[in-house]
Parts: sequence; structure tokens; C-alpha cells
Amino acid sequence: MPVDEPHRIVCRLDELLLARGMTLTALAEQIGVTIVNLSVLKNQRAKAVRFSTLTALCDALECQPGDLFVLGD
Amino acid sequence: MWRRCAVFNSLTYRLSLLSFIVMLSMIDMPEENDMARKSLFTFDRWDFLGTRVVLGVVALGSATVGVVVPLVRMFQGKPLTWQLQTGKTDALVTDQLTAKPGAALTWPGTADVRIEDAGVGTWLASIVPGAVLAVGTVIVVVALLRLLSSVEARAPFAPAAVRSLRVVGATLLAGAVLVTVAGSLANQVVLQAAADLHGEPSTFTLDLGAVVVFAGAGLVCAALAEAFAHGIKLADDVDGLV
Repeated sequence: MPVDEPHRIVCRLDELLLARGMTLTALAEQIGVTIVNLSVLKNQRAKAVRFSTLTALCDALECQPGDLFVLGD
Repeated sequence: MWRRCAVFNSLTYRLSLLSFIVMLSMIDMPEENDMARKSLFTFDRWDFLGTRVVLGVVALGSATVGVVVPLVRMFQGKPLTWQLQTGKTDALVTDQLTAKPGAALTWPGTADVRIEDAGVGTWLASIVPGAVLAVGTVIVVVALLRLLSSVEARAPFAPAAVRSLRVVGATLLAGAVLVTVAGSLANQVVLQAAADLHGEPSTFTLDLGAVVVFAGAGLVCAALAEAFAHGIKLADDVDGLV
């Protein structure tokens, strides 16, 4: 698939937050990312994620990158 | 008069472009960065306002000095004044000073001319260089104001900004040539009206220094436009980056 086409990555942040009983605000404070950016991620509006942000998310949510992002249809 | 106007605009063009380049290199850190510190060279809202004022003064000044004042003088029947390039040179002969042995004083051919009853054609020819300069100045100022608004809105890498810079570049390039040629043609018209050349052919002079300076500035603006166009692609790459 050419990189210019829209992506099909789905972020499961809201499911993971629900499963861990954590709020977006608490997660933002824990990993040092703004609520605005986490909101962008949660609402599927993100186009790219820094590895440092991904690492911090996985550490905070105690999950793997594959738990956080899946390939949609 | 158009020469004074050209010198005024040359200085203010350089000042405006220089302040713009300094402004672009000193854009503030994003407001969400609490560690950002203001320095003497940080471009704040007062600097944006000041730049707008300077640009406005440049545009108004150019139109006033280049067009309005000469037209008013023409309609009032006042004498036409002009700094004439005669294209002639000769030894300087005057009672006010004498060359010492080993030195030579030469008249470079420039003369301040005053024509009491200049015809409409001569007046209009003398106004054309100032008018061309005024039009070019207004176009450049409007484009720079649009660019300033983009920068102030923290969205400098936008198609409108690229267009503004390309307009400035093209206007400076074309204006450099047009103003210089118009000035030289006007000089010829005034020379014919003011001086008797005793059958000698007149010399058509072109001030290439001004052409090189303004054309160079135009090329720099065109290059900046390409940098901004690349910036649009980079901004798009990080749009939505978490």
C-alpha cells in the first residue's frame, strides 16, 4: 500500500483505559503528554506516534504496542 | 524627486526585509512550553504591530512622495524639479573652490534642474518612475502584511504565505527593471526639456546598482518561498503527530 493512502491503524486507548480503570487525565499526567494529544490519539485523529510516546503509553498501561494499535479493515 | 523617492524606498525596503528575516528567525516557542523565556529579540505582539505600522508608512510614503506630491505641484503650476543625469562630464570650474596642485576636480554630470513652465508631457514623464515604484511598493507591502498575519497566527507554513513571498520576489525582480528603465526614460525627457545639447547626442544612463540590489532581494524572497513550500510538506508530515 503506498504511504500516501489513508492508514487503517485503530487505537484501542479508550478500551485499555476502561480495562485499567484509568482516566485520560491521569494517564496524561503520568506520561507527560498533553490531554489534547491523548485525545487526538483516542479519537483516531492521530497520524503518527513517536516511539518515546508509545514506550511511555505501554509502560503506563502495562501492555504491548500490539495491544494498543491494531490494523482495521 | 524620483531619485529621492528611490533612495527612501531602497532604505525602507532593506529595513522591512531585514526586520522580516530577523522576525522569522526569532519566532517564540509555543505557549504550552513553560520554560520559554522572552529575550530582547523575541518578536511579540508589539513588534508585529510595529512592523505593520512601518510597512503602512512605507506604502503611504511611497505613494505620497512618488505620485501625490508631484501631481499636486503640477496642478498648482509649480516648477518641476529634477536631479538630472546629463551623461556629460567636465572639469569643475567655479569661483567657490579651486583644485590644489596635483588634484583635479571634475563635474560628474549631475545637475539639479528647475523648469518653471514644464509641459504636461514632461511632468507626467517625471511622475512615471515614482508611480511605478509606488505601485510595486504597495503590492509588496500588501503581500508582506498577509505573510505577517500568517506568522502571527503561528501558521507560517501555509500556501498563502508561499504565494505572498512569490509575489514579493516577482515584484522586486520586475520592479527593479521597470523603475530603473522608467527613471532613465524620464531623465531623457527632462533633459530634452531643460537643456540645449548643441546638437550633441544625449547619453541614456541606467543605474544598474539599484537593479542588482532589488533583483537580488527578489531572488532571495523567491528562494524563501521555496523553503516555505517545503515547510508546508514538513508541517503536513507532523500534523497529527502524538
